[in-house]
Amino acid sequence: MNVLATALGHVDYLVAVALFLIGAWILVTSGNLVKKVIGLNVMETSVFAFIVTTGMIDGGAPPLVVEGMEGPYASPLPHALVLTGIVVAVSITSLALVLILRVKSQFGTIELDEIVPTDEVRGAEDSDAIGGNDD
Amino acid sequence: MIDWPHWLPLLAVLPLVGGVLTPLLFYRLPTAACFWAASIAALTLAVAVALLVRLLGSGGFGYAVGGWLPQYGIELRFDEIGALAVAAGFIALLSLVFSRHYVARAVDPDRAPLYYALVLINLGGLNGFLVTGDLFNLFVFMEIFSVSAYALVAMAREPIAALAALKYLLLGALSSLLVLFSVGVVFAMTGTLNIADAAMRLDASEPMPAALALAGLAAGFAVKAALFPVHFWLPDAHAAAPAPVSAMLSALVVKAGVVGMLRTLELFGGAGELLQPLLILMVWLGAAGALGGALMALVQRDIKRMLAYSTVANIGYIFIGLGLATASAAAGAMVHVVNHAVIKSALFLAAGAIIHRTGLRNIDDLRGLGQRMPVTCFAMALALVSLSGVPPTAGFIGKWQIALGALDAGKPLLVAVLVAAGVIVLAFGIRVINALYFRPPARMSVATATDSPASMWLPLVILAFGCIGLGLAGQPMLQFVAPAVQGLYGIVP
Amino acid sequence: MNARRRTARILAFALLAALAGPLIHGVLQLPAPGSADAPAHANVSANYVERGAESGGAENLVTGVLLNFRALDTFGEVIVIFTAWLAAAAVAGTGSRSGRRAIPVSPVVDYVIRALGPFIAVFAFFVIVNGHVLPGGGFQGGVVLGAMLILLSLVLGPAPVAGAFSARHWAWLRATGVLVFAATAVIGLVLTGHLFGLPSEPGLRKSLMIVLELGIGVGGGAVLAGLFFAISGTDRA
Repeated sequence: MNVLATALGHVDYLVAVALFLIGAWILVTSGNLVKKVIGLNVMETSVFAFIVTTGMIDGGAPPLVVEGMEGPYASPLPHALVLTGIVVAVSITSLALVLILRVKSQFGTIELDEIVPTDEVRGAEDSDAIGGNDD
Repeated sequence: MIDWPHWLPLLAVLPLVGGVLTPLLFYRLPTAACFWAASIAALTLAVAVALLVRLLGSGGFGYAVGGWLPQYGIELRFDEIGALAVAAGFIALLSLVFSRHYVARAVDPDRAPLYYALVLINLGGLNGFLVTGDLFNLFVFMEIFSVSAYALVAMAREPIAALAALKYLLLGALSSLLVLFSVGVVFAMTGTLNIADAAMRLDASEPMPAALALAGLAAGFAVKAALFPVHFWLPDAHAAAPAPVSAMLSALVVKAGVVGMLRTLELFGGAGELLQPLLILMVWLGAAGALGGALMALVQRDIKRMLAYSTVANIGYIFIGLGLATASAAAGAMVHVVNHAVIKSALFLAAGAIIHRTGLRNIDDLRGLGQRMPVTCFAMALALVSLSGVPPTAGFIGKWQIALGALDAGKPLLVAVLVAAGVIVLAFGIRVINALYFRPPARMSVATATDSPASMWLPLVILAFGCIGLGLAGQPMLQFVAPAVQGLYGIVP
Repeated sequence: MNARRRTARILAFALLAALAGPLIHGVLQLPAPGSADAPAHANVSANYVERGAESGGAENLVTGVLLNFRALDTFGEVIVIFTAWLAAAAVAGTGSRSGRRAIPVSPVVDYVIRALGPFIAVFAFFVIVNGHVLPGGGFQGGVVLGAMLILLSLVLGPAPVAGAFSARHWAWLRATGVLVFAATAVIGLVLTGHLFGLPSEPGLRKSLMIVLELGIGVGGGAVLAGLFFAISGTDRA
């Protein structure tokens, strides 16, 4: 019973953990690069939800010190952190999408299984060999 | 002048603003952009040196950004770990000088100003990361140098560049997320983001969430540092990137992961018993990385992939030293962070000069190049000798100290691992030197090659002699990092 | 292929299941969310709530934290978003699809979106300049502005929107946030003796904060549009 009460009291954190694991599952198991980025985004959202929850107060007001808003106020710090975090996430996602477009134009697919890596070592041309057929 | 307090924030702000201005002022002017970027990097280096002089004179110091008390605002602090900013500025400057001729061929010339901008932003992010005393600010600067690093890898014309960068990005973003989550946990437990403040409040807290935060931070920074077994993003990314970028990535960006780990150890110094399992894990993973990385380096044909795997091996050494947690081993590990940075940047720049002049990157194709590109090959040979840890070069001190620490800790098996890895490194070093100097050329591009222009060989030679100079300065450097070691593991709060 | 996939899935499931235990166990021992006496509300946050409105200079405490107490974080954030555009422009493929309409739209949609454009822009500026009293601010308004530009690009095709400024001027617009922030940091150094400090005189501080928000908003909106152009292959700068 005690465990259940703790779990209920922390249900917001548990939802964040569940989202985190779902995102990680998509990121790890999906072979499609876009889906991997979506998985990453789900994970990011879970962390933002977690951080913003730490600043919450039951029955509290948003941290706006204006007429009609009475305390206790939610902590403004997690909000500021998450705002920064979201901007970072947008940057990462956009760069990932640009890179996926490049991968698509290079390999013709965004499925990891179908990408056939070209030889990692860019070997020299045979005509470059000394004592080769030309020169 | 040296005591002017505002140098500390400028260490990060100057290259960041300089980087943002680069594509604005030098749109389609790649040469001017290069001069501009090098000047900004030189100024940043000067700032770092001024800070170092002040540190040597009066010990560590801080800066309250915006004038707020440390907990309420963001506190920057300059300590022995932050002094790595000197190495960062130095290597970034030399890489930028090297880029002058290299970039013309390695990236699309229209986009060269963007390349220089990204290098400067990378430097600014690194510097901020090194000197910040705030957990969330650490995350922000980490993202600045990470995003610019992903883009710099992808800018290369190598066919695998985009895929390598994407792999690096996904792993890097995941590790950043782990760090951010842990920062959230620490905030929920302590209500503060200042590292020193949080460290004091953490010891009295619940052990389980603290262990969670510690695990998240350690795992995140281990990925950034490419510690075995989460190193697999590194060989592709470092081999595909343009050579000066490889130099910065291997020398500095993975070391930021090590610095992150050091900050984590500081943060949890008060909760010492929590650190024990992590330290043991660091030693074992480090040993696996040192051996595995060296073995993988030995079987590579591509010279840059070989160097990239050698970075994995050296990160292994550093983590062994940190995990042993004895004064001499940890000091050795910290010194090796700087020494490996100089050695590996010399090697990557030399490899870049060779690729630039011959278009070849397969080690067997480089036979006989020693006669055609004497300066470049000499620098490469010198750095390879130093990498394998021959005394009195830079690679020796760190490994020697770590081995001494392993003996102190009563782990002779580790010494055997270190020696074995050293022998393997020597083996691939000899393989490359043998190919360069003692074999006849097999390729026309080698037989007709000429040595690189001064903008390429000068940075190389400076770094190669740095490998010797740092080797001779081993003792003073060990003394210099000693106070930082005291702050770790909670030896002295 | 399929068998390998299945093994990978089983391994991933085992890994995540192993991860779930400590994660759940860990968060359950954190102070319960929502309780007012949790440490998260105690020291730093309590100070922000008690004195943040006066010392931070904004009734919206979040804005005060962003622009004043933790200005260096926000500066870093502005740098990250600019870097994202820089990275996208440096990496994106060449503009093979430029000028093409992304999606064919009906005349009704076309007309409605053209008519909505100015209103969205006004709303964006409202959100930006009221960031210190209402929920909102530079980033939020910047996103609205960027959304407007992207919406217009979808309807009119990206070329006319991207062509509103030369590539060079777009680059300056995207850097507005960074440049205004850097200028404010230096002004703060002159007036208060601290880099990134804001003067304590309320009127001056408020004007500086609004200028900062405007810079962040315009820069953020231009960057978001730039990211869209880079992805859609319009932008070559």
